[in-house]
Amino acid sequence: MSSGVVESEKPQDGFDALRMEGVTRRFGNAVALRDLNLTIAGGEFIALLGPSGCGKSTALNCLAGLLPLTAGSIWLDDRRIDTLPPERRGFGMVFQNYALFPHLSVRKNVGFGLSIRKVPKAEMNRRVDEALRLVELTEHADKLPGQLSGGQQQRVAIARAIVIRPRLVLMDEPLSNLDAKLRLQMRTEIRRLHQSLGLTTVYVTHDQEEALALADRIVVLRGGRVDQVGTPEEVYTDPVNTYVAGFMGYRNLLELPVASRDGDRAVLAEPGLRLTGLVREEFTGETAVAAIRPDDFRLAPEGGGSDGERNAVRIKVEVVEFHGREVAVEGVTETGRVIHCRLAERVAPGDKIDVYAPPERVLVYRPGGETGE
Amino acid sequence: MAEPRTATEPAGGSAGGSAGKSVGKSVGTAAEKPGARVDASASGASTPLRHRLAERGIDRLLLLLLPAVATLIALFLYPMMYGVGLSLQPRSGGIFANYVAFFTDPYQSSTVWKTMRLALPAALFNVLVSVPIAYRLRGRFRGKRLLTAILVLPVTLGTVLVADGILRYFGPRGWFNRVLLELGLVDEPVRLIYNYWGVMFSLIITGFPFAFLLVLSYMSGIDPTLERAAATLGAGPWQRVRRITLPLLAAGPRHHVHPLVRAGVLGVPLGEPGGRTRRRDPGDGDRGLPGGVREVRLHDGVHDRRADGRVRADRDRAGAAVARAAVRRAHGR
Repeated sequence: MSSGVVESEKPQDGFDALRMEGVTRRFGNAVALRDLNLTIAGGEFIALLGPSGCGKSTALNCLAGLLPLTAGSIWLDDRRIDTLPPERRGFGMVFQNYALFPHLSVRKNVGFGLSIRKVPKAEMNRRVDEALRLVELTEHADKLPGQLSGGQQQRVAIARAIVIRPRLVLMDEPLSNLDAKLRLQMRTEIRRLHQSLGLTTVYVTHDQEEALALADRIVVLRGGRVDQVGTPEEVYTDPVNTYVAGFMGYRNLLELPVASRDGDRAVLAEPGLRLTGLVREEFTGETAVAAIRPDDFRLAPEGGGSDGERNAVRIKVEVVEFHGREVAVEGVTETGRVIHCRLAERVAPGDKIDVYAPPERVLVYRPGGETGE
Repeated sequence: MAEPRTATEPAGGSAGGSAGKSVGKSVGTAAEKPGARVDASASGASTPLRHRLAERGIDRLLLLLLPAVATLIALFLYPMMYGVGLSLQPRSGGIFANYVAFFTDPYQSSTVWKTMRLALPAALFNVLVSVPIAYRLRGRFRGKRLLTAILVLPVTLGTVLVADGILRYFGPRGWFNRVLLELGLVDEPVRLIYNYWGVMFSLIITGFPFAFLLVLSYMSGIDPTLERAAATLGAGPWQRVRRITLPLLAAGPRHHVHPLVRAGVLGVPLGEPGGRTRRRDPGDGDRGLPGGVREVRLHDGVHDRRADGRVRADRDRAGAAVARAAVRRAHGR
């Protein structure tokens, strides 16, 4: 049909970089995405992470061409693509609800993109077969989507997106409709396909575990803005603010008076609680936030060991959850602060215990950064 | 075998007063069948009857259906069956004599043909016009309700009103012809009333809301993500409509009734649906006409006020009769 279809029929080689420059999208007065700058290298797996309403799906739809930009531009190497309609971008997309064509068989669903591209029948069959084999759906090829389970439908959606050998695969929370076990399985599957086919993937999720497990780089979004871009390791161990920290599983966010400050170390204290930590975000006020991951707490030796003394917190155990090797403990300090920790030792509700966190695992931030709740 | 049931019956009935009782009754017949089950389950006596019935969806809520069911039977089912019964009792001949007469009578077959010539194009036109409009209207946007209301407004117009409006608008001195004349497109007024076209216009006007609402509901049932998915797979706008939307539109109602058929059926009744069924001639043997209802209804507006003979005279232009009746009435006043 149009020249673009012919063009995307060419073997789609990878690209060096996809650049989003100042990408902004407004809905009326609401800004869904504000000035997003991001460069995606060919072969990379990028996760856009954030709660609902953070702009991650907007960003994906802008990339796909399903939403026009309010401002900014998108470049594929030297070619500007944000003005192209979706059908001329040559990106594959996997939708949250799969969006399989209910009136077409699995085979025809997968072959849809190829038939639009007028790929010769023999080659089409070969490529569809190959894609179906990749997602292990060969024996379901002639069924209708309605006859498949959720996980199978998901795999059809993935096969349909990758069979066109897209430059870029966009995935919009593809696992959120699956049950927990299947989600883990498909997660591995997606990563395996990404690696073996050499895809470039942008993956939207609100699940930090998914993002950490899958991505080469994570983009943490909040209210339409980027808070942090980094490798899973960086984002996990070194969040830039309390919001990202909260998202990355730092469940203990304690706003405390600042007792002293020495370089990148700060001591926060209140009666019965004294924490030394690493300053991660500059602060000027009287208080700061200490962020501690529950699994960084250890049970202090009876009577207070020399190491644990400095960062020890005395808590009264209130709730104990069994998690196999560990127990998740919720306790309160004598000032009424709630502390979450994971301990290898067995404790019981009502116990008074001392827990401590090594100073390098206590991150100190400026207060007032939203917790992401 | 009877014992467990009687044992459980009071337990069910005591709690629920009269409502409970009548459920028990209606259930009594239903319970005859699963009698074997009651017998088979040794512990059947301990499961209250009401619970077993509730599991099969029979409970007191069903009583709420009674008024509706009674109304349907009294006003719809019984009269219809009565009519069918009459049609099977001809004055002479076998049981199907009326039907044989109907289908062999050239007058009737010309009537049916005329009806089809009106109803099918009107239905087709309405559906074809509805599809693109519904396609645009399926999303959410400001003013959608207003627009939909305007499109559906003809539903509220009475037949006579539509006929009168058509006569005025499409008549020789109506706006439509005046505009054509002023623009120099025609030299003399186009004849659009008292004929095929007049009826066609009224069918389209009254039938459109039904066709539109149906198509809109089917269209709204199609997940808009599907077209987005098709777009990311390389399909242009027209390919998306042709390969996704239209097939789904056609496939959706396949399980019920095709929209074309429905729109046609709904679009055709033009006279007063409650009007008396026309007889051909008093005493010629037909006590009710099987089929041909559409045509009959076309005449009804006339029949109510005009003598049969006049209708017979008009039969070659059956469609125009409704419009004509309205005009006569207006002049006669």
